Amino acid sequence: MWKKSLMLTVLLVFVSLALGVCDPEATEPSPVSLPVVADNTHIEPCTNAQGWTITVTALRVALENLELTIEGETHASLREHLRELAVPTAHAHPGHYAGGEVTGELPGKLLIDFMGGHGESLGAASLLPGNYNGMNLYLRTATAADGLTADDPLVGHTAVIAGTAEKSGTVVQFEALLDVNEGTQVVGGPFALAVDAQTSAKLGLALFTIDPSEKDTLFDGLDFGELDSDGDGAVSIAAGQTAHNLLMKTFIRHDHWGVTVQ
Amino acid sequence: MLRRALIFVLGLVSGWLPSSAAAEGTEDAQPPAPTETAEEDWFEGELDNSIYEARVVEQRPVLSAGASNISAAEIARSLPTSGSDALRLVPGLRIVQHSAEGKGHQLFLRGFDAVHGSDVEVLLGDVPLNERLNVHGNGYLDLYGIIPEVVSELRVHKGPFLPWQGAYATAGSAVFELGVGPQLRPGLMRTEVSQRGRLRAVVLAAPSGLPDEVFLASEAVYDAGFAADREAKRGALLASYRSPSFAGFELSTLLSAQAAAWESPGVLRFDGISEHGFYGTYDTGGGGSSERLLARIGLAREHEGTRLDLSVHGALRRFELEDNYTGFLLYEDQGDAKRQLEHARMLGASTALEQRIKRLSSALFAKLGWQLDAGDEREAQVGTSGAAWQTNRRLGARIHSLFAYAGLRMSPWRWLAMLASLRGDLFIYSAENHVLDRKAQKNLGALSPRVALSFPVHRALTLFVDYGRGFRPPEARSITAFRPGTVEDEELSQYRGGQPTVNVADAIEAGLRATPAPWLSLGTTFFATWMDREVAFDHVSNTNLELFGSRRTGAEMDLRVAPTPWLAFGADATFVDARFEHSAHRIPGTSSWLGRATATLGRDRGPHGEAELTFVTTRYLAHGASASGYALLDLCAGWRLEHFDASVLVDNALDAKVMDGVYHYASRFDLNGPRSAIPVIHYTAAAPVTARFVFTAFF
Repeated sequence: MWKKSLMLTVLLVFVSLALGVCDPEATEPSPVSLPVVADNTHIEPCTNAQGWTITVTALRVALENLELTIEGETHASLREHLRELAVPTAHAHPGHYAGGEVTGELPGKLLIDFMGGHGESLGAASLLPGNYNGMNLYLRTATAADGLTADDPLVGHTAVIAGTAEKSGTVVQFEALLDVNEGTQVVGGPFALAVDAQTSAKLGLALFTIDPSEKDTLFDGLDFGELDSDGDGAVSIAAGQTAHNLLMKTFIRHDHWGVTVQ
Repeated sequence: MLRRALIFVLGLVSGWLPSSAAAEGTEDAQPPAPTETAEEDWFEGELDNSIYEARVVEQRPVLSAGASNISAAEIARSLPTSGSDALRLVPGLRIVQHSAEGKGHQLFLRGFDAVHGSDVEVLLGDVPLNERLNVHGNGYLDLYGIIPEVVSELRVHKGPFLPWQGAYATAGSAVFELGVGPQLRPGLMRTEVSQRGRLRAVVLAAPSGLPDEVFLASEAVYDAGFAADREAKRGALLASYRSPSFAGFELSTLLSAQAAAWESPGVLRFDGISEHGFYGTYDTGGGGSSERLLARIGLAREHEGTRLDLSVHGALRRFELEDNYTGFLLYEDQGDAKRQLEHARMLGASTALEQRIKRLSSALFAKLGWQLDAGDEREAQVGTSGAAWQTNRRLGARIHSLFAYAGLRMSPWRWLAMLASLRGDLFIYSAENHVLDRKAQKNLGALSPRVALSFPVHRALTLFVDYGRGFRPPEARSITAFRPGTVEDEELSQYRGGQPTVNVADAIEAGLRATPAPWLSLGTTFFATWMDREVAFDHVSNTNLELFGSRRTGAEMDLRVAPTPWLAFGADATFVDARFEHSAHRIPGTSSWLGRATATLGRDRGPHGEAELTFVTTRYLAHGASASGYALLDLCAGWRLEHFDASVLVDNALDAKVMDGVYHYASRFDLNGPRSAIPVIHYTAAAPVTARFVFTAFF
């Protein structure tokens, strides 16, 4: 008798499971939409390694596709962490160690006027819930399609940085036109935020004239006195110059980019 | 004699396919009879020597709680489409095809996403099949050289508890033993055709009166594919020979040849179903081809309780693959397609010694082994024109693998059996990365203590407690990688696995097996595995990423009932909770439950049939996404005569739309749409309802 019951049970299991067959379904995490603005609060006067105190008066950048990353399940090894405690290295940003899985983004082309457009809306980023700890972006060349006039100095370049450098009473006005290879990626700037469905925050895309981790500056390596070879107090930095390459190399480092939470 | 000669010729001929694309080896055979089971004094009745009858008594004692033996009869009844497909019979093991037949499966076992073999060790006899050098994945498994009709037994050892379990056995091991029993001699011819354009032919020649290990088998397959971009052709040849007396030794030889060519449909975004259909593709033009030639020679001698085994094996391998899983996400102009190419050679040798000690009902055993894997790996980005435009990888590498283990098997009391061992492995890497222009050498090792205890407390009840350590050696290219953080602002798109090391997994399990009657067997096992580091193969970057530590806990249950010689039921279920320890997130791709229920009817002659229901619950994906579970119903009905068998199989009889492999990552296949780097669900589809007609002629 119990054998028949067992057989019946098995058959019922078959039928019930078979009835469970249906079209496939998938559940995607719902993205959270957070506004992103330009943040110039970290563009502050700084003194570079050559002793020049630089004050930025204009800074415009063409970039695209801001990406926001979570650490995911990747990690630095315990040994690396221990070594960090004993001998802090020069690499404290998530880009070096974290896996940086992109789960948030503000796609599209952006033209940011940091000094003239502080707080200007750049759009709304979509973020999947998670613990964010990094950001990436892609630098590009500005064109007239960005709404710039033909005589705008930014056209054909990636960034324009202007300001003054002062040292021992000597003041130099400078303007740098930076040319970065199209699509150059800045990987691993800091961005720390735990995002869930209830998160309500404004994100600021920031450029740091002073690296918050290592305290080096965006202008390290530039001796404005040497650059002002004619002594007229004005310096123009452009592609082809050593100064351009120095500044450009620093500019694309993740140390000087980040997303702040406001 | 003439008939045997004909079989031999047909065996060779069946390796040829009408197409020219790929060399197809062929061969094959038919499921051999179950190997002799260990008789137990309480057992009533004769051991089943049939090839098809469904009997619980096929189950024979195992050494650890998670071990099981899948008999030739079970394999024969299920009529697997390939050696790789035979792994579906392993309880708790899920295999996923994200290309077409010929490409290795993705494996899931005990909460491990073993990708293409990084955590599941597979051996052909004593020859390891996990490829330590493979451009597509660490431990890559290509099981299409195994013809299921000549598999005499598939031995499964879940967890790393036994001394002979080597590299990649972090989740477990499977051993394909080859042999053809007397029921299938002198051979057979099998043809299979499906309504979806799949053709398969198998020829087995196995002269009567010779040992099970003497046979020649070939297999040829052409599959038009159940949907676009899934055409596949392959073939295999297996030749095995054993002489009981050869200069005082038992001699055994094995030759395996295989070749395959296949198209790859790639993946489909879940949100692309409405536009492309459930079985649609993006027509990314992927595909692959592979060949392998493998040989083994073994000598064995047993004298007065001492057994000595010597063996040498070697292989030549070529593997090529082109696929594009991300569309135009990374390279808008050229597309993200990659082409991978591997040329590899392998040579290995081992010697084993076992000394039985009758007085103590015990045995001492030891084994030494060495294997050299050498080869070249290349990977390039391929543009829409098919031309390579960027070299990602050009690596030459050699890996010497040495192992030694020793242990004791003893049964001091009737209620205790113990298998304790200590295993050491050494890996000597040398590699030259031509892209990074770096040469490197590295020696890595692992020490693996293991103990398996079984307690046959009653003739119908055995308890098990096991502990063991498994390990996974790193892939060769990792030793040439820059150390993370040592290159300022280096775009970390190359290997990011951190410091290469041998990853180890510590595992425990406890279980019981009850056989209260010859027709009833049931068992349950509780297991837990901790892994210091987890490595996930990333198809986007084709790299293994170092992850936080992980742990897996779960339980397995199985039941087999055979109330009559012509009727049997079987069911198994596995529960596993697999998570990363740091985040408590589930390991992507795993599911909490999976299992199977089977009903089998029939004997050696007359009508027979089988129904099998496989179920998998929700698959957990990265970033909190998930994909629904599924249930697959497979049916088989047929009629056996003395020299013929005709069977009709209906796979996926309910025509369920099943997402076989499911993944969560970013892609861009529509260039007209906006680019987004946010991950979405992608899947590969399992085959829709497919009817196969299988005709077998026994000689």
